[in-house]
Amino acid sequence: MSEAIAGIGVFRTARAGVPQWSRRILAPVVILCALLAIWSIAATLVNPSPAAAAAGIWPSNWWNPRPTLPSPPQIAVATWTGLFGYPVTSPRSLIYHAAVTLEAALAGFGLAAVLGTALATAIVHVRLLDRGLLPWVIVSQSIPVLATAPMVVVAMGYMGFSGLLPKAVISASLAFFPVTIGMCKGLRSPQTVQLDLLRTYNASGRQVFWALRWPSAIPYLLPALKIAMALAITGAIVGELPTGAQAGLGARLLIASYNGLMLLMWATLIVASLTAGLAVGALALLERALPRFRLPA
Amino acid sequence: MPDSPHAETLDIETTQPREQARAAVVSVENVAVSYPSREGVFHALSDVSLRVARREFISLIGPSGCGKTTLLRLIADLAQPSTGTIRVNGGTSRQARGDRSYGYVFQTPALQPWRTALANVMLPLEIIGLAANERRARATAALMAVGLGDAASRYPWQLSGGMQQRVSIARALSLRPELLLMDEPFGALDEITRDKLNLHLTDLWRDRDLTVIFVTHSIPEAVFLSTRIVAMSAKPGRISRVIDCGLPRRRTLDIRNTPEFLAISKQVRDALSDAYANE
Amino acid sequence: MSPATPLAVLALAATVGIAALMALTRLANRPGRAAAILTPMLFAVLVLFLWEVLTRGLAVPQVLLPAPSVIARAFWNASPELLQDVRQTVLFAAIPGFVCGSALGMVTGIAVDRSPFLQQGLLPLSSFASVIPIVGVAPIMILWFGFGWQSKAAVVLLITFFPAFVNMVAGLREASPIERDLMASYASTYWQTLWKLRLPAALPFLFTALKVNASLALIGAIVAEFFGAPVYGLGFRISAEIGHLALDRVWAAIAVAAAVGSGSYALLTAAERAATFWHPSQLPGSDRNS
Repeated sequence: MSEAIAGIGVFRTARAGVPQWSRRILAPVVILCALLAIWSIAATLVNPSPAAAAAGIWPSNWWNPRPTLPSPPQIAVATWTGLFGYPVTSPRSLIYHAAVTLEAALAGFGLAAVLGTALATAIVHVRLLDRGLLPWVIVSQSIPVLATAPMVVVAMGYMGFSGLLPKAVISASLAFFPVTIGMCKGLRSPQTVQLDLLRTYNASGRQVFWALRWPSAIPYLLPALKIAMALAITGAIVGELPTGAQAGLGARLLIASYNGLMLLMWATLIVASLTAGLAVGALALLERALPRFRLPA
Repeated sequence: MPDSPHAETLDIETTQPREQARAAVVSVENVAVSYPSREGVFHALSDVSLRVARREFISLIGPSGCGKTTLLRLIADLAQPSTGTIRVNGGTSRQARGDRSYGYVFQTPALQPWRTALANVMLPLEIIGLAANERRARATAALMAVGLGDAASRYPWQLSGGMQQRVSIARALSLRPELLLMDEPFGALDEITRDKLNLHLTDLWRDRDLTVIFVTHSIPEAVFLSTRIVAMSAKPGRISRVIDCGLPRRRTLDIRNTPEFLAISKQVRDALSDAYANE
Repeated sequence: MSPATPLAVLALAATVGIAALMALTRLANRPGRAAAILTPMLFAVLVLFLWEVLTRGLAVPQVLLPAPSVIARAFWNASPELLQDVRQTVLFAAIPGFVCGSALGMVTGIAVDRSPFLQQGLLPLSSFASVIPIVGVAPIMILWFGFGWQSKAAVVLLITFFPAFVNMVAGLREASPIERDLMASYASTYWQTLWKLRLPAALPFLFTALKVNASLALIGAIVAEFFGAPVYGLGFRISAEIGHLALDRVWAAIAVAAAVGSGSYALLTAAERAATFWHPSQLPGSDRNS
């Protein structure tokens, strides 16, 4: 076996002229640049702008104030202005709105992580929950939970909660399921032989949990948390749509939508993507910092 | 059994002098394979030459890393040598692969789980574009040849390890090659199953006039099957000794208790312990 | 119903609940397929029962949580409209978007198969795309394609593209080196190897993508309607009835969406079982169900 694989390795190493790590960075950058170039050309074709042309701005098609397809530089400027053109406390600052959304998302994410882990622990230990509840948790993945967002907002508003909490609840209701399912898999990942080993020590359920199940589940937990984080941010943004909320990226997106502000939409989207990327990236870093081990399946 | 009247005159042919170069099914000349690794250049094979005549059964044996699988892959054109030449049936190994003139049996059965045993055997026949009824006939015959005629409609996961490997041998036979390349095909099987398949293989080899190159880790297996045994050593991978194995072409398992068998086994063991001494 | 005191309702719910849970626990501990199916069903019935009793008995305001029977009645009364909503959201937006997005993603996955550079370039971008709230492009699509189903289908296409692409690329890597060598030993062409070995081996990945995409498509189509839609569609129904505080109708719309979602999931699971019956996760003896 090893020889066969080594034999294949020959040609792979021989062919790769550029070291792997630099290719890994180079390739996405080149592709991204290519996509931006195509985009720029498309923007040139789609947006004639007599006004900018008259003012002598070149290339004029990139600076149409009401573009159909804004050009990459135009989006970059709009994003930059949104982020840094206003004081952070100003309702025109996208940093302000991102912070509002992120706050709710993080609250929901935390709630989901704790509740999901707790429920998974219960499911692994209580057979009734395993057989009665877990199938529904799995089915719920195919249900558009996000559709309940407006209802959650109204119901919680009726109870006197508004602002952060309803959004956090929506975020949590989305993020909850991947955590639960991931943790169930993780807590069940120890092999029979390892469970048997602990049984020979006459270990208690609690000891088995902390000595075996929990550490085995960590490699499953972090990917689940990354998915949960991405969902939590989507949840918070969608939670801002039906409230008539004044703050948050979702509210900003809705205002841009009502007023047909193409540039604001793009800028808000970029900021939302960056926020999500950073939040999930932070978890990826955490994952990398943790000791890497995985029990063979 | 060696002295039984069945011992054929053909026996001599297998140990014929190397002058029969032009009739060689496989000829490997001064072949080397090396590639860069973290500890400098790694020599998977160094200056290997080997000629295999028609109807020979050659075993490649040696410690891991001696390049026996690599040598087999070179002959099959699944890998390329850094230097040296390889001829198969008088042409290049690429031509031989293009002509589908060999059958290759891997360490694992490599059966496609979504195909039945019969459909797996038909796979190469589909690749070469045979008509459906011809495919079915040939695949069925190949399955019969390995004694799996009644397992045709079963899926790989419904077969034992030994049966799976037999299907993979049938798959190699379905192309009706004269050359069979086998890479430790029975390595993962238990002793008894392995004996059975060895016996079966030697019958196939004899009855079908096959030429076989066989990679193995097992000395008894190599001696039982082969007309010649190529002992290899590692770092760099090379041929350390070639041992002629003058047992009759018709063999039964009992042959393993004969003094000849034990003598050849000892020769191979000595050759290998030199090879392992380098480790 | 009205004379029932909250205390009595709670007592009833607690008694029934505890008794039922004890019975269900005994059922859950039984081996066998019947118990495995019956337990979640009865568990759901219990939840519905307690929901009904508690919302009615404690007179929970409709705005907070309507009773299941109220939702059922709303469903019955609104069914013609809901049917039209499903047609708009599912048939016109979700399904075409799902089909085009998944197909495009898979075709792209095959297209970049021979170029490691393109793969290395596109995969990180795609995994980034899986993190960002793509549904936010809905207002842009509405500006481009109008309020109709076209803009929603475009959103769904965009959302479903990436999972299909990533899974196709991963799936095409699934065939082992030995299996590829086998094909090489037959001098099989690139397309023969793709068709006979690598695509079948990739099927489990493709079904994973399709199942993910099915739920993403539905969510995308509904949420995109929150940004604006003609006067029908499930997302429109939800946001419009919320405005009238007709929570029973909102719940009815959500129940329909849930049924569509789990129905399509069940359909895909059945197709998966038929197409990848050979995969270890589908063979008898393995009880992985996700």
